[in-house]
Amino acid sequence: MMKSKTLRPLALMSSIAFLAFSLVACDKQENAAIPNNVQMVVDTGPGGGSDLFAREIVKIAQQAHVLDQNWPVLSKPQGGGLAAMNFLNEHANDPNYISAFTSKWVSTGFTAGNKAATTVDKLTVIAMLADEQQLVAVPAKSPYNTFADFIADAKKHPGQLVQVGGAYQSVDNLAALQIQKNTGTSWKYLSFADGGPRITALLRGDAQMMIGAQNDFSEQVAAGQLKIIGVLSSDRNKKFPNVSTLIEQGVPMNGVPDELQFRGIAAPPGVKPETIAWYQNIFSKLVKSPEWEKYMAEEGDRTQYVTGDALKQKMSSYTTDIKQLVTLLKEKN
Amino acid sequence: MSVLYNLMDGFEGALTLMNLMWIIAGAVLGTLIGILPGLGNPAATLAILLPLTLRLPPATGLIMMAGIYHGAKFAGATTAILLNIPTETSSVVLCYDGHELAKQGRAGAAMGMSAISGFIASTIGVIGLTFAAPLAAKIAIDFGPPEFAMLMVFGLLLVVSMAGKSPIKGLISMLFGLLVACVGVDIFTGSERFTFGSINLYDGIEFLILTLGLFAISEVLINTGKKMKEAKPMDTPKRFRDYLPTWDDLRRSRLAILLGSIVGFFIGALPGGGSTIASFVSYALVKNTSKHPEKFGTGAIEGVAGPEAANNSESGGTMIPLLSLGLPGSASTTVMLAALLLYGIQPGPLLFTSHPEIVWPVIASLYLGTIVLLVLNLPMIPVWVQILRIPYWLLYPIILLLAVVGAYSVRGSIFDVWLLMGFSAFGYMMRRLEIPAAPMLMAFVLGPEAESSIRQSLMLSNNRLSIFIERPISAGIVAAILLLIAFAVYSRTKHRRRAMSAY
Repeated sequence: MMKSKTLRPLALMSSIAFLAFSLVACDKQENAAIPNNVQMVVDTGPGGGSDLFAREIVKIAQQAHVLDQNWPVLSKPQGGGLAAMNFLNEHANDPNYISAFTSKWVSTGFTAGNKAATTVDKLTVIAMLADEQQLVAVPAKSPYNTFADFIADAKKHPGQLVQVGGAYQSVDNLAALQIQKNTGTSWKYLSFADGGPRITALLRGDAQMMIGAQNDFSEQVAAGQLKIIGVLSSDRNKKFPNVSTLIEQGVPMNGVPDELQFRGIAAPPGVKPETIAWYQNIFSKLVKSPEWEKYMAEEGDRTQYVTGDALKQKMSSYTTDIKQLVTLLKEKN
Repeated sequence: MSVLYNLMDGFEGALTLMNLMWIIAGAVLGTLIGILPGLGNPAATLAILLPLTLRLPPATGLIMMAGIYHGAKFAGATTAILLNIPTETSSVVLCYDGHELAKQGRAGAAMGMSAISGFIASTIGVIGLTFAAPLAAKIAIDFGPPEFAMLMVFGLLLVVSMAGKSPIKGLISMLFGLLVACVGVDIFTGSERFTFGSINLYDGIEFLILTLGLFAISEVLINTGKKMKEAKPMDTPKRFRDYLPTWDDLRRSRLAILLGSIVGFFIGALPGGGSTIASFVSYALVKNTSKHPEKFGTGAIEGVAGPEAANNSESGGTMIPLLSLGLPGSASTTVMLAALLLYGIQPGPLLFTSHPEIVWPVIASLYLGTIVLLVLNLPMIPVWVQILRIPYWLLYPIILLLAVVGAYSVRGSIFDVWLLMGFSAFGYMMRRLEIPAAPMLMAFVLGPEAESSIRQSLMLSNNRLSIFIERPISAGIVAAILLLIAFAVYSRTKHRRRAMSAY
């Protein structure tokens, strides 16, 4: 009798624990070709770049009436894309998971020491959506008026100037390394995990230069705290049409991909052609909507809707470029 | 005076029936999140609610989000005091004195004090936000890597100094914390540290996993060794008046609340500052300026009032970099930034002039939110304290359940649940060896920030250490560190001498 009394709480404890585990395990798997319960996997936490992009896609698609469902955003932030890619790989053939990916995933695949990590070429890339132009910003009172001025100063002070940015394998550092090699200069790269401290490092004068997207800088430029001194792609930026591109300024850009930072949609490996067509139907309508046009203009992005063979071509040439840049990165370390 | 006019306009905008309703909804929801770790942290909840928020008008949506953020902070103290489980990084410090008070049957006083000091401090914080935002934003920009490095070194020194009876055990615990904090991919070089090739460890270990393992589950484990029938639940007061702090408590805590509010506001205003360091620095300041530092850690009411004040005035401060620079200072404000962006509003230096119709109602709603929270929390204290009456055979399974669900919900990863089990066993071992867990948790939170800011500083200075004393603010913090050490040594030797001469 005594024994059963002590066992009772134990039994209760274990049954509750069992219930918890079984609830967690309730994750139904359905593998029809037409998605009915879509979730978007992203590589950043709430409020991060890809998270915002995915939420904007859903919001705009609903506004433009090309989508009547709600696609929840699922965050897999570990390893800057690695966890998200692995997640897609684990859900092979499942039409209900897609990912808003960035070109960063290509380079993380190469820089990762982990040989078992999934790379982008294992996934089904459905479409490229947008190209995010990269700009060079300096403090408003900086003596540099063009990126060429910065290069000239970097030649005089090798290893002294500071560029501020994120993780060491991010595209802004990769592009900067190639430019340093092309121009025979060198400068430092200061890493901050969050975006806020990067801008304050510029404003404080701890760093002299930063490469980033239009929206990283536009408010500070409007407030007269930062200025834009160059554009990394072959076209000028629409919001800052007076700023010349690095190519126009005579900076040798060979080895730096023109679309340095792009965003697209990828699905797990092995999804059926009907699934791909279903998604492409939605996204092709999405990118034609006026709401999308407006969003692209606000972000300073160009719509780059590429699918099929053209996409394969683009992905493989980008991959080749990035492979080169990553070798450069490993040499420097 | 234009600030006052703007604020009046803000109140006019905030005081609609719908906004008031959303303030209350946000505060209630935030309170629930703060109390049940299984519901996830405030940042995650804000993210889940983003789609709902976006259906509301911008000011109303932000008002609700601010309510949740505030409410979770207010309530984070509850679990730390009652159950010794800090569900938020900023409530770790409350375990030192808050839970001790609960053990002495004064849980109500501790919770009441945390609500009252939280109310006063968040009001001070919001007043600071209203009037001192431009000034604080300027100081925030001057706070670079060397300044942060010294602030973090300061914090880590405090961790050791607060270890309790055995400084060596405190040091051991702190080193474990620093070690666990190293796990992940280093952003400076991209190299992996202690990941054992697992992608699950690439971004390091989540705070909630560590705290649930070290505090919640290991507490359950250590008590399973006792006979449950013999173990009596803690005392709870019988009269309502005993649920509130006494006048003497309030009198003793005056200075602590004031100090905490000021420290919290300024640390909150730094992008990347955070409430953890705010609550911690405030605890140390209050302890070292107290006439009875030896009472801290054994249930001193000032040890609850100071850090809670800092934790709550920080939320006023943390809105400064968000609203005036467009730079979020914490995970929760990052989600609020996301909401602003999704509304099509770009926060930045121009937000105050370009969208006053959003900024001022939100600031006004913060004033209202703190009042709502006080009204909501004080009468609820006796209800929460009843948790202590729940018999252990029922309470412990519930804690286990909430801990497992909570650990899973952070990243939706079953790997984290296994990690939780591992840290629970580790926490059990530490308890058996009487190594305190709080220094490990504090070092885990402060370590990464300390490491990166020291490395950033040395990179900027080409490895010259003089950078830490060349810059005025950094030099000021170094001076403050030295002063505090000197003061602590002086007051302790004086105390010891007095004790010696008494024999």
